[in-house]
Amino acid sequence: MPAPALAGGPGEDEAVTQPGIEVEHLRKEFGDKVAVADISFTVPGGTLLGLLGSNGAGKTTVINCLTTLVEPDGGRAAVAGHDVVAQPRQVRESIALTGQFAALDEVLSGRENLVLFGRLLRLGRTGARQRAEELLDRFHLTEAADKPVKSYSGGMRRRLDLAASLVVERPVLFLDEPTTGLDPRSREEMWQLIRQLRDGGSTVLLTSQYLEEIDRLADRVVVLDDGQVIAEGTTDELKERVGGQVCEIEVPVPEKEAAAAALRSGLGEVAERGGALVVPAPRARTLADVVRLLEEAGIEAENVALRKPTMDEVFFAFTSDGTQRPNAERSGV
Amino acid sequence: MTAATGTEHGIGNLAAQGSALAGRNLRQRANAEMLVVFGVFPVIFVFGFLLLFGRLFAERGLDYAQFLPPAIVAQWMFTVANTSGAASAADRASGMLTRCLSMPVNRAAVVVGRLASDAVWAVLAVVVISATGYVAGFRFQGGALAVLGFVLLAVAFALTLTAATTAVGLSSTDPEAVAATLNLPYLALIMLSTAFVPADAFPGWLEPVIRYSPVSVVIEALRSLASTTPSWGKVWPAVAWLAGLLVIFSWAAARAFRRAR
Repeated sequence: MPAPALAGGPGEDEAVTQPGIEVEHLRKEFGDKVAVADISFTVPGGTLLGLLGSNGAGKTTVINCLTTLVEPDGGRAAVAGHDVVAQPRQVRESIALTGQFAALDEVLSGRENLVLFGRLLRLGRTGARQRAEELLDRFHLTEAADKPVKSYSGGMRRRLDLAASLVVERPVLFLDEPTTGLDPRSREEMWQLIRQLRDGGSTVLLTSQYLEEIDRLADRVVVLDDGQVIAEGTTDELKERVGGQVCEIEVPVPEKEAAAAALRSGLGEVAERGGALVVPAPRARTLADVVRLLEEAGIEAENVALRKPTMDEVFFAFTSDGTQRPNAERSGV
Repeated sequence: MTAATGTEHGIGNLAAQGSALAGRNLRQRANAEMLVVFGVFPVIFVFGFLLLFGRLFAERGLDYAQFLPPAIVAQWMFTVANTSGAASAADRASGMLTRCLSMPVNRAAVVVGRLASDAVWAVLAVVVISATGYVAGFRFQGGALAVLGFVLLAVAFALTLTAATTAVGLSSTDPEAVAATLNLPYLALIMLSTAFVPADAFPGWLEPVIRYSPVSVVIEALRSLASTTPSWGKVWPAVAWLAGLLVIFSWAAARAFRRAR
């Protein structure tokens, strides 16, 4: 009977031994399309790993393999110490999944949805109703509890979706793009809830297209591209390798050469990307320096802005700076 | 052991989870549209066809008020199945199916829940159509056992069709496309049967096809069970047809279920 061990989640001193998620050389093909070529990573118990990648990078396929929805074609994976192929039932007893598309019944109310999932997990009618009340309260949905889900806003829907996956608390959580399509405020709310779960000792695998989201939440990051791991590390390591914040300067084309020279004299490094000049800007001060240097050179900029690296730049950084694609080199590990 | 005490194994879990899902299925479709489909349309069909053909067949010595309602029942079993197929597609599209399958829920509970709610709709349709028929002059003339047989055969027909529509529904994520697609075989099968006219009303070369179509065979069995002389000879071909089709459709549905992830 797993319930007593699972209910509390891993305690502080158990966190070391609590198995999280282990993925070794995972492979999955759909017809002749290779969705996951060769992916390996580990999520230690009680930590949050961010799986970063664009659409089609293989994030959802990895999640589907780990949640026993599809069977991998190669490699092995274990969740909470259970093999996903050999012990799918035990895996399902240890996990909760919040999918990319909020899987709720549109016609039923928020409360009815939570009661349904509680009954499916055999809490009994009374137990399911009680648990639904607790979750509605915790996720600030009590007011809308009796309205049909189709009338909910995007943020409310995601909160209910997350609540539905916590009807019975599990040691391992899969959050597949939990904030895609949300407005900034709802996103911030979701982040807060996810942070609470992580702090509560859950092992969380979070997928996202947003670097910022991973940055705010994850202990470690795995970057996927084209079904392969192209980078992994802590968020700090990742940012360092991408190059951090930059200052982007747009000037009229005839003055670009002069502007680049002026910036180089004062700041050292200047690159050109997409028609704009780019200088590394680890501090906000760089912005003032840029404005001053341009003024001294008598150049009027069209636009000067500080900018965080984009996903494109992450991929650019990891695919062009010599980081090996792992297929050949790592297959022996 | 984990497996023995989990929420995925055993008949107890299956029954509880199946009934929770059946309740949800019923609740989900308990709306105005279904009230029209199950409360108003059958009345229009029974009285409409009676008005069209009643006097015509009376001249040939056929009591159309007794002849028609079993056909309308069969027609509505198609409606139950087609609606169910579209609902399966909707569950797949919305992620509801994915969520259920990622939880420790008995693998068969989704199917059991769907069949149970479809059975409720089917019984409801039989009751509404029989009551409407009664007003028009239709009578169960063969006793209580025959009435029970009538209901069971109708529900079995609906569930057999549901297995087929589930296979189609689970292969798609577009409920509207599924509903539209399923209308085609439904119309062809019901038109090319003895639902509305006797087999000898068709051209001679088509007559055998009409007579041995599973839809005709089921409708004739229903008519027999409603008649003064219910006959096993009319019922067993229907049972045989349904058993055979159920094997094929279930296989197709199970295959679609495994792929619908």
